Amino acid sequence: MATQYGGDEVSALVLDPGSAWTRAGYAGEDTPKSIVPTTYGYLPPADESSKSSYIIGDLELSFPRPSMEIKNPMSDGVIQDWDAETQIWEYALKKRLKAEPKEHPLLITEPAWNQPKNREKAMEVAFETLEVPAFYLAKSAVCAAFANGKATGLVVDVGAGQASVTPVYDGFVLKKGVMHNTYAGNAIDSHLQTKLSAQQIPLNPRYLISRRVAVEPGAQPTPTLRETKATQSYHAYAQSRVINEYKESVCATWEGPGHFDERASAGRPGRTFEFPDGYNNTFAGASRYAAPELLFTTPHSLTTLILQSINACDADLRPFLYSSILVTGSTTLLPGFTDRLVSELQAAAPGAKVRVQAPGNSVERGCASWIGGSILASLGTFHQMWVSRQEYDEAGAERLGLVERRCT
Amino acid sequence: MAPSFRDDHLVILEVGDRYHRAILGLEDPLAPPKHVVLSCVRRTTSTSKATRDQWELVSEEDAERDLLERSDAQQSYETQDVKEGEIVWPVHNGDVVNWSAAEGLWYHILHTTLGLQPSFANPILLIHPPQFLGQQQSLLFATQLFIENLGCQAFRPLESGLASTYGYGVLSALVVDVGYSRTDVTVISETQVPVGGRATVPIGGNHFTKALAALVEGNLRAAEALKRSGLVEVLVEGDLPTLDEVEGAAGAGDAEDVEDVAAIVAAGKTKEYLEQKAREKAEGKAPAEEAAQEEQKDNKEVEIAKFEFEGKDYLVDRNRFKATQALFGLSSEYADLITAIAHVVNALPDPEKRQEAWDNIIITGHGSRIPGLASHILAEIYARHVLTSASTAPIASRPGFPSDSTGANTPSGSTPAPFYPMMSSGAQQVPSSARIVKLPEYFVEWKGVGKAEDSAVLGGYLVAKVVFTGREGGWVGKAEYNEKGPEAVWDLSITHIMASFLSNNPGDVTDPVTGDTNPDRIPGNADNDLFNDANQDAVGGNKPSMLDQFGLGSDASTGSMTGSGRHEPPNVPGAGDNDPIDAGAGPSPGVERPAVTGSTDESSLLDKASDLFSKAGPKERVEMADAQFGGMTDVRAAAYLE
Repeated sequence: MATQYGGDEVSALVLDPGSAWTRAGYAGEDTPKSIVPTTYGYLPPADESSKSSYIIGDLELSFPRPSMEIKNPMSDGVIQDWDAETQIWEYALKKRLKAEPKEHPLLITEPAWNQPKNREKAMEVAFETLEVPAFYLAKSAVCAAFANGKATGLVVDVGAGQASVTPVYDGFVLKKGVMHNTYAGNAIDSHLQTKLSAQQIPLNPRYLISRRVAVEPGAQPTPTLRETKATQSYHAYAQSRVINEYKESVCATWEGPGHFDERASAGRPGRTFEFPDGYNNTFAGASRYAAPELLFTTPHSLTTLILQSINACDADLRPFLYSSILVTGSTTLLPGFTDRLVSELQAAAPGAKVRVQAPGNSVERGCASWIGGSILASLGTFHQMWVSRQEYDEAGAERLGLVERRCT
Repeated sequence: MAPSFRDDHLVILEVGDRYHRAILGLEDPLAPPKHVVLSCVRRTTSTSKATRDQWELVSEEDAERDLLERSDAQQSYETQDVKEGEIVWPVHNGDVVNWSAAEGLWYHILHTTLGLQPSFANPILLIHPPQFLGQQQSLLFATQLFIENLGCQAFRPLESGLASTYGYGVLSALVVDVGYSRTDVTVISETQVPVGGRATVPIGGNHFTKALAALVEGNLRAAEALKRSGLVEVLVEGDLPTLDEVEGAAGAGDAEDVEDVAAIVAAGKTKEYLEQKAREKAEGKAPAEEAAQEEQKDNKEVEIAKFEFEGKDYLVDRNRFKATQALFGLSSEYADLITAIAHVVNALPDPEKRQEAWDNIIITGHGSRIPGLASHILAEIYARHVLTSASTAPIASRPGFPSDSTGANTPSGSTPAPFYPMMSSGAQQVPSSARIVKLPEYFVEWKGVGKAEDSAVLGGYLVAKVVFTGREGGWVGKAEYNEKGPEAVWDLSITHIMASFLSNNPGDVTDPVTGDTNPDRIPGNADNDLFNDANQDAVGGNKPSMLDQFGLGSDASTGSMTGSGRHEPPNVPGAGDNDPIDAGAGPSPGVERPAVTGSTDESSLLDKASDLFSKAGPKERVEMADAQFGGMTDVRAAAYLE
């Protein structure tokens, strides 16, 4: 190997693990260059002498392998399976980004409700497994606010696994106002799956399709299917990709005012969508608008979450939070989402001056936490914030205290 | 102001696992690479410290024997483990695995093959596989090696997939490069590869040969000869849509496209590359080709064909048509070619850009020379991906085209938007069609087999010409290197130059009304031979502006081509304005950047600030953020330090 050239500036790495996607890239860049699914394939050991293996990457998951189970290391937005998560981080940084974590400080984002034990574990993985020279754990909501050019605001993040509301003041999270639930993208997907199945749509995923035959809109498709040894969980994963595509192409949020109204939607044009197996139809009315309604109409709606969060904060702060609501997360890209949120909030808090800010660029909406982390880690003044390897080594058993004290 | 170089000094070097291809000097007309060098070197007995003396080039016979005798596992990657007389293939799966041997190989290609003097002043364009890329990887080592060890004065790397698009004269394309041990798939939009826009299928020409070996009693050399014999083809058969059906489905209906595919099929049917390399300007080639075609028409029907190799007769059955099936079948080890293609295309955020890629498929690389492979790929794409319900109407006027768009399709300036799963939000499905592009007619020397497959080198010519003989630079010299180190290559960008060059190129014309890109050249367009004329001009010692050298400067006739709306997709926001859904329905119809409601004057300043912020590039952002939050981190840090 040729000698490694040592550049003058070592840029930090930024890692933003979400429940659906893990984003990684170099600090100072405007988009993460490595985006891998947090969902992974697990191959159990073939026999007693061999080891299990992890299959990571979306192309790698585009075809089934015998006995490969699909899993996700996250639950409630928090990492539960650290073995798998570590593999995903290594893949995202080393394989995809081709970075050598030993040579770069690493900033990782975390949800505002992360438990201390988990934070300690993240630091441990960074120093012990990835062997980074320096480390920092930043709240993803704070980063999202930074990405929007704000240090104070109410961050409303609707992703795949979680919807969360986090008040941020001067770059700090106001803990008592952190609210989250699971009425987010995945919940919409499972709602859609139930509805589509009820309409006798077969939902054949792409890996099964060998050949298709053109069929009339609404007619049952007659594809040639492949023989595979896919596991049940792989099939479910592949189906979820189809549903996701349907959601992105067809679904929209009823923009309000008020809840979705079947009659009012009657005059609106539908969207034509073709499933991988050739089934195609034009979807209108409830097929487009009903599923995203669960973000707004359940007792745990986003509106309720926002009001709870704001009311948990000091009274003098509340008007300020109402007027600087920052929307982030990919699920908020559903057309009409922002308009609906505004109208719901105006109805729920008539006196307040509501102002919602949402970047128009979908990358900025989907990767706001990563972008904020990228900005933060490349600030000239940030180098004082890093927890260095020396500090980590010196802390010994006091690691929990170290991460709690330093990464607030 | 960068110094510029003479046309006859330009060096183009293409890196490959099996062969390197090298060129010294631009000729007129541009010809396929003359020098094809096996990508291997032998360890010499020299005790000299100089790396170049430790390696020597290998004869074809020795290299062939070496390939047959060893498996990849036996390759020695560490130089100290390489015994004297042992042969090393320094490039494996598109990346350098032995830097010392690579340096030896490159040294000998430059000095032995091309005959450069020890202290040469030639600029070098290195066409490298996509695997070279990565922030800290081979590209930096290569830059260092060429400038520090090989004495290169001006160095410019170019990714092979991008090089092909320049050769074909298209801005956006899907490049399928069938190589020796793998097939690289790259999607390019407006001369940029998006994040996630590269994939590799671990199947290439060598696997085709191995598949054929079963038909010739396991003799790999016979299998290689069989592969090149014309007996081996890839058929569009079974339940695959035929080309006629494909054309019908595409609604293209013009004869040009049918010819396209046919031309490629025909182009695949000839002789070996090596033979051809040796043969100078073959006379009477055309009749031979025709005869070959006649034979092969029958070949499709022949159940069992006779094949003779080294005096021995083999009978090969219809399995000879299945040599490439590993590229398409369902495997439990790797994603097949069609899946990989769809995967990289989906890395483009914008459905229109995706459609553009589907409509500009470039099939290149010497593994793609098997007749019928291109048609088969196209047929598979139709069988699995092109929407069966696709209408023939232009995309913007189809019912259900996104009208209540979230702004997801907002062009983000010059930065390539990365792959992001939700980006197709509210998007029309694609592909409604797929097409294979053919090489521009005016590259006369590149017609026929074993030539068009070198499209990356053709693109390399164009880039070398623009970069090294132009005034705007776009290469790393000693000065840049001393200042920044190998990282100086990251600063190279000729995107804007090539984009304006290509958008002036008559080969890629966009209908301003429908936005449909017609991959076919305009026949008889006077611009077609511009490149050649320009070449002569430049050799003649004129120093016109860079684009003028191509005859594509700012004169009125070509200028109007630029103005044909090439970069303007069918107007999405416009469609939204006319749509009943958005008109007056929401408080801020169609606008989400930033969506402001219930705000008064005081917030508009904030809007401006954040708008400015969101439009700023990464560097500006950091500066702005520093000004904004820098003090804050200071305070917080001070609190910790206490």
